[in-house]
Amino acid sequence: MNSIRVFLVAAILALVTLFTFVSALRGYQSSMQQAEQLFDSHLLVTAKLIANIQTSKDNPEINLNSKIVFQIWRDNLLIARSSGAPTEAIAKQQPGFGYRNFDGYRWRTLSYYRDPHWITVAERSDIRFSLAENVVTKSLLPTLIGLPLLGFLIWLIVTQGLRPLRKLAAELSSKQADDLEPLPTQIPKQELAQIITSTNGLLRRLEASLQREKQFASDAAHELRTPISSLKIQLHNMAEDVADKTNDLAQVNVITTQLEHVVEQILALYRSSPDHYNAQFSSLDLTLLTQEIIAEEYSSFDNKDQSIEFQGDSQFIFGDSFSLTTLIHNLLSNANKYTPQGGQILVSISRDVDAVVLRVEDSGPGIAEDQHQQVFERFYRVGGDRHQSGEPGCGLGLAIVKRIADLYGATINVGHSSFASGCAFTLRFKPACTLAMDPV
Amino acid sequence: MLLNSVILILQETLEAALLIGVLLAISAHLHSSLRWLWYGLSLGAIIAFFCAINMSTLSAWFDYAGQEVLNAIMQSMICVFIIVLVWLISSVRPLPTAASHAYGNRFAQLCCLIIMLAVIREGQEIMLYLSGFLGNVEHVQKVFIGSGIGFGIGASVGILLFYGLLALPTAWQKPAMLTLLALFAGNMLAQSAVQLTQVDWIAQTAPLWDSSAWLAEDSMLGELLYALIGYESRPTAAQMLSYVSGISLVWLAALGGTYYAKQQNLNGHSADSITSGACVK
Amino acid sequence: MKYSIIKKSSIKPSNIFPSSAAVRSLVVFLLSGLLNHAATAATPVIEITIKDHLFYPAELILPANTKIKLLIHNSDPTPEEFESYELNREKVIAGNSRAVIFVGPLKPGTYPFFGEFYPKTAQGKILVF
Repeated sequence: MNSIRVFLVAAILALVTLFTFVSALRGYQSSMQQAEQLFDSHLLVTAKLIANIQTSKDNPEINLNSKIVFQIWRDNLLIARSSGAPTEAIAKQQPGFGYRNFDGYRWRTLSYYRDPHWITVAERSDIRFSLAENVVTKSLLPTLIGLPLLGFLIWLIVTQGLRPLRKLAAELSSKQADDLEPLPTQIPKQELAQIITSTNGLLRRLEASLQREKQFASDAAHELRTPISSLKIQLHNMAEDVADKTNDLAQVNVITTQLEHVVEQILALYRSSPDHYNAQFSSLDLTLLTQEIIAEEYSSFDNKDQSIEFQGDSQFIFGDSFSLTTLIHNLLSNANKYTPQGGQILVSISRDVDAVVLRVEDSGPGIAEDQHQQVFERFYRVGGDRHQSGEPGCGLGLAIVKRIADLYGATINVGHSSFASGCAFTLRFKPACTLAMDPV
Repeated sequence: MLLNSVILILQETLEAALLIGVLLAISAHLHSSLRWLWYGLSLGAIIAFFCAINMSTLSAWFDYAGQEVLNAIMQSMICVFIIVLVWLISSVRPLPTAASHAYGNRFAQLCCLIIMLAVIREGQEIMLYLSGFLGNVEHVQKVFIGSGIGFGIGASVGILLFYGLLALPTAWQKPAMLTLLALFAGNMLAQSAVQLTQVDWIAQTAPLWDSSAWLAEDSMLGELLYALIGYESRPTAAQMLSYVSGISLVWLAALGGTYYAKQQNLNGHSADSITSGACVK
Repeated sequence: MKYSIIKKSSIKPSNIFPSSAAVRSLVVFLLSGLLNHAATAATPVIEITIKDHLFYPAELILPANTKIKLLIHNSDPTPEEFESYELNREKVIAGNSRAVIFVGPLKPGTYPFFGEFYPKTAQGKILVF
């Protein structure tokens, strides 16, 4: 009922029906009137003809073999009549047309005086009417039959006319929450141009303000880096100078490291944000990259007596080394942090039918199933801040992993590892065509 | 036969179509569901069918006054239901969802009853008329074409009234709808007076005036005005009196409903403040 | 000529407004009360038959200012509707059945009536003198 299309179709069709039908009725009425006059003049001609016929008194009953009956009166005496006419007067002896019921029918009558005779003729009004109506109805029929067709065409045209609107609605509703790309403006309909311009203006302002927010966070983080570095150096010097080897200073050190970490992560997070990021992608070997990163980070695993193993052969995906390094680094340090002393870590890269699969498994405590989705939220840490590992962390690492995975159109899942305990992160990347491989 | 069918079907359809148009517009105004329309139409059609096939029995009731008395009862009932409906519409105020659901139900039931009664009255005549031509080879085509035209004009006017009402500025919509309902109620009561006069339950008096020379009842405009505001070129005192009382009753219902809503609102507020006071304690 | 009496009176614009006669009739109506059963017994009855979509008789002559009970017998198998704008009457009559309509009291004049289902043939008029 609130649909524009229903309104247009119903209102237009109602108006068209009203006008068509009323004018058809007008046409019907005037045609019927004309027909009536035609029949009347025909009746008059007949009466005049009869008046001119020399009637023979010995044959007062004349078989006309017609729908018309007549009587000829002279001095109130019926001197002749057609075979169908009654013997009583069928009309008053007054000149002119009239109606009269006799013989079980209604008749159109005409009295005509030609001295010394009164000629009265009569024609069955129902037959006259039927004849005229048959003709008129046939002329009306095309209009009536055409109406449903017209209705269908109106419906088609309205549907067609509203199509740009439906298209726009579909485009708007199919937009992802974070898709701030402007709407295509090549839709030529002038009524929609304003809506599109306004919507695009809105999107632009929204994107600008989001950009400012990112810029602010990124700038702030960047600005914080230098003072934190100096702070660390100062702390280091202080630890050298002051002989106090108590816990306090070590604690300050830990907190400062944590602060540095947060700032680094915020920077990484916002650097990976731009939507047109994918444009700079090239084909690169994920395995090679992963192996390099493992080699770089080996010391941190060694420090905790953890064994780290890599499996897999060369697999190419589209991407850039900076973001992939951040991703792999975050996954590895996550495993490193939450796997206890002497634990095991397995990194594997394999080729599925439609994906390159990167899997990082550990033998740590694992993640409860109800927390599988939450681990990717910003600043979320399993078990809250009192994490058993006592490791410094801000809960941004996996959020960044997720963000980068999204940028790559890759899916990420948390599951159980192949060890007795622990969890496994599985990333599925779209493979790059190996033939169109670019040098890294 | 064609023109005659048009006029006959149009007379019967127009009244129901206008009534449905107004009720639909009110429904749209209140965002109510439209199921009542189908229930009303189909129930009315079924009852009309049984009335039509038993017409001669029904007519013989009350010493051959059966048809008129039944019509008068149905018309008065439509008038009463319209009055209740107007009360309901006027007494609407911001209600909690559960109550507004009940309110919507009551509204739908009333609309359903009104439409049903209108369709019974108009439907039985249409059915009787068409049944007379079913076996008539000569006329049946023209009668059905004519009926189609009549129905088309009636339905079109109803649809245009519906959209016309909704196209009005929001502030005018409710007054316009209530005015039309008042005219309908007056019209119905006046028609019931005519029915009772016809069987001499109300004494026939001389017409108050004769405006048939200005606007004949059998003209197109006359038919439309008859259906819309109950135009009659030769009304009797009984007709005028019932017409005016129908309109006045609807008007009173609207006033009463508005007053009641205000009172309820005041009471509701004081009740709220009492309960919240209790909560604070 | 048919409508002479009605037309003559309605040409005067003052007649569109309630005349003194109209006001009197309103008073009469108010006094007569809603139910009017007592008077029916003495009402003269006139019979009209419908056959082959024709009225028999097609012309009735009635005295002025008299209430008449019309007993209409539809002897056709098809239904008919007795209708008259001038008399303000409308009644459906099923096939092969009877119906009663009260008419009058009427002022002198011509009051056409017709069968709405077959208006081309079913026509008649009441002449009031």
